[in-house]
Amino acid sequence: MLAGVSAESWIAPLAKIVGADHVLSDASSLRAYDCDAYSVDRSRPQVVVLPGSTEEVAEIVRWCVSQNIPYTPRGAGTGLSGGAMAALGGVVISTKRMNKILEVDVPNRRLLAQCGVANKKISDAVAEYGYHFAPDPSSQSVSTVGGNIAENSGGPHTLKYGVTSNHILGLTMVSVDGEIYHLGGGAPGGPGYDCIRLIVGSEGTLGIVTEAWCKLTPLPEFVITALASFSSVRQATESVAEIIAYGVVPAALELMDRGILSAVKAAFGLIFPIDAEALLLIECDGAPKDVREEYAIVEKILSGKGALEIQVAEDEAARQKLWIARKKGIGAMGRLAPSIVTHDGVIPRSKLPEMLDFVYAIAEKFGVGVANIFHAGDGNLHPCFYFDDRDPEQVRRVVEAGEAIIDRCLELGGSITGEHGVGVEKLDLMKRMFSEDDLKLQLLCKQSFNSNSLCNPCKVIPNQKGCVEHMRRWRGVAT
Amino acid sequence: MRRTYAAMARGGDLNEGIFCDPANMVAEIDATLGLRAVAWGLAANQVGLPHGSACLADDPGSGFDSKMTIRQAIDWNLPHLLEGKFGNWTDWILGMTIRLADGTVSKSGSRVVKNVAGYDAHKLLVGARGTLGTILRVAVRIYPISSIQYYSTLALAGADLRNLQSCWEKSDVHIFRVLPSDFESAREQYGDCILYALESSQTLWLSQKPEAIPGSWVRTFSKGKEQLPELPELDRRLLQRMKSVFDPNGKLPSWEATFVR
Repeated sequence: MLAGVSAESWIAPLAKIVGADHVLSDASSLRAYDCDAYSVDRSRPQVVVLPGSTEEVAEIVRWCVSQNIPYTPRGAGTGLSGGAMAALGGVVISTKRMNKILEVDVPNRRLLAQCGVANKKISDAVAEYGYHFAPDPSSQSVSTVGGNIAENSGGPHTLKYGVTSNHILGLTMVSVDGEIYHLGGGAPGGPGYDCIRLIVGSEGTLGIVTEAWCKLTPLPEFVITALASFSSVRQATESVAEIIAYGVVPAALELMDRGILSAVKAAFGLIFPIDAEALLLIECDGAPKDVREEYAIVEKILSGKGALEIQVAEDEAARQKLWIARKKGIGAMGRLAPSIVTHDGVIPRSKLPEMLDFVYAIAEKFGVGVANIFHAGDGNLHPCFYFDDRDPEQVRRVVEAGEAIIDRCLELGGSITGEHGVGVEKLDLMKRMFSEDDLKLQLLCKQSFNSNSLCNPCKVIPNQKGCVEHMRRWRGVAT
Repeated sequence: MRRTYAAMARGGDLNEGIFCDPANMVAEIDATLGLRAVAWGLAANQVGLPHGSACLADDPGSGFDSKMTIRQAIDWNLPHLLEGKFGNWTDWILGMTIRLADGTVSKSGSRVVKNVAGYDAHKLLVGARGTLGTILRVAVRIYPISSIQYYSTLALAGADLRNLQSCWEKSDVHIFRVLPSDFESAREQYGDCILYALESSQTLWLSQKPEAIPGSWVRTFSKGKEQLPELPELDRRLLQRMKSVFDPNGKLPSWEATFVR
């Protein structure tokens, strides 16, 4: 680890590449880069550089390799597993300045963006042509295409439209040695290894993606959005399981529990039925006839499960209002405690009712506050623990409660992460999901691209050389 | 009691045929099973894989695809008739059990529909022709059979698939995929040579080899056997590097050996 190492001699060569204004090394600037939105683990870089082009990124990487300095790519820093944390210190390569849309190719339904472009800006740029970029993580107004690619981000509408890897047609990547690769971008499905699907979701460990061809998806012709309230969480989760088992795939199927309802009521003055313990947001989209048929099935299931009330949006304004609780729920939780950790695990959707019971029991056992707001249709849980990260005892309990939930996900045949990634948060948990033999395959994937261990070190694969001894130092109390 | 995916993979019991979980719309399948056997097995639960007679036969029980296994279909990542609607094998595969070159049996992915734990090695195996490892089992997303049948009917409407099947077995077929903006001009240019045209995925099945245009690719089959494609230099270098990492002693088929010259 390079903690305490003076980076004074690094500044001039890096400034020569990107300009002095784009090298940050003062303590107050660096502090903002010592973690991403997962604040339990922290590690401060020595220098942050802000390149403006692929060529500059390649030059920075070549310089870091020549000096044996670790480097970590970073987008907007909205990641929730510490993937953009400079685990061994060194240089953070921020894509903040690489924020240009380079080409909009409407006839071929694709758009070429620099990796620092915010997700939502892509959809905004093509809305006038009747298209959008389908992955829609909750952070989409700020999270970048590069970050979405690194984490293979999802979002509420990935139930129908798929995650980021389904929507990246090609990319430009600076290899771990500083070579520039252009992969794909043309007609999909050609011969050769599908490296793009491997790189998307590799958490920035196989190289630094600098540009991407994003697939543009037609905006839905017709949408029905409904918000159902239930007097128990179990009724809501059973509704989800029944909708999925019926074979219906809505565009979105999102669940919020009382913890979230209380927070959004206080923050935005939203009104829900007094007995509501859970809300289920359902969105069906497509051709009008199909959507109406699909929603009729959904509504029948919701009513059969005893929904207290089903509100259906009559226009776009009403639709946006129904989405407020889902979109603003996490932010509203800021009223409850100084810190929030949003956990991420996946289970088979039929197991949702018993899993939610387990989450509440664990929160009670560890004495931590929990609220749930998650992608129910995908079985992708997000228990949000609220706590005070200045208290080490609370931090410990939150971490242990999170691990108990992930263990249960695995027991039910699920996964340790559905969209937040492994990062540093779940390095150890990888060993619970995968055997040594399984991890051998993971290592082969990494070695195919990354042999120097400088590019975003200590992520994804547990027990890497030079990382284990530092894990204890990352986890600390907020200062 | 049902065993978990992890237990199945680690227990080494790879002889189970199809584990169908319609409640979660996923299945896990022995990769040595034929497409036809899998189709029948899943249909018993009113679900299926939407490859729309993946190998172009109008009768799923005849010719090419009656012999094709799940492993071959994934190894070859063949374009199919419902790609525009349902995507390709890569889009359905959630996880795999793979035998590596040194005999290690490894699992990648899982059996849930959303998962970003670790690298998506299973996606890399799609279309890799068995050169990086041998696929033993696959976990896949499944779809209601009513939906598959509905879109299959649309895709097959008016198509002379018997002619295409006949060409497939007797002569050369060139699968040509272009960017959407080039599809109409390609269709005009190759008019008489078109055996089948699929606008939803901008794919033409041709009896004559087309000229490459930017952004397109061509895969040539001679009597059902695929010929070695030309790859860009960068793709070739990456392919060689990955191959040397996954199979340093050359125990698995080489990329070249999996094609007919």
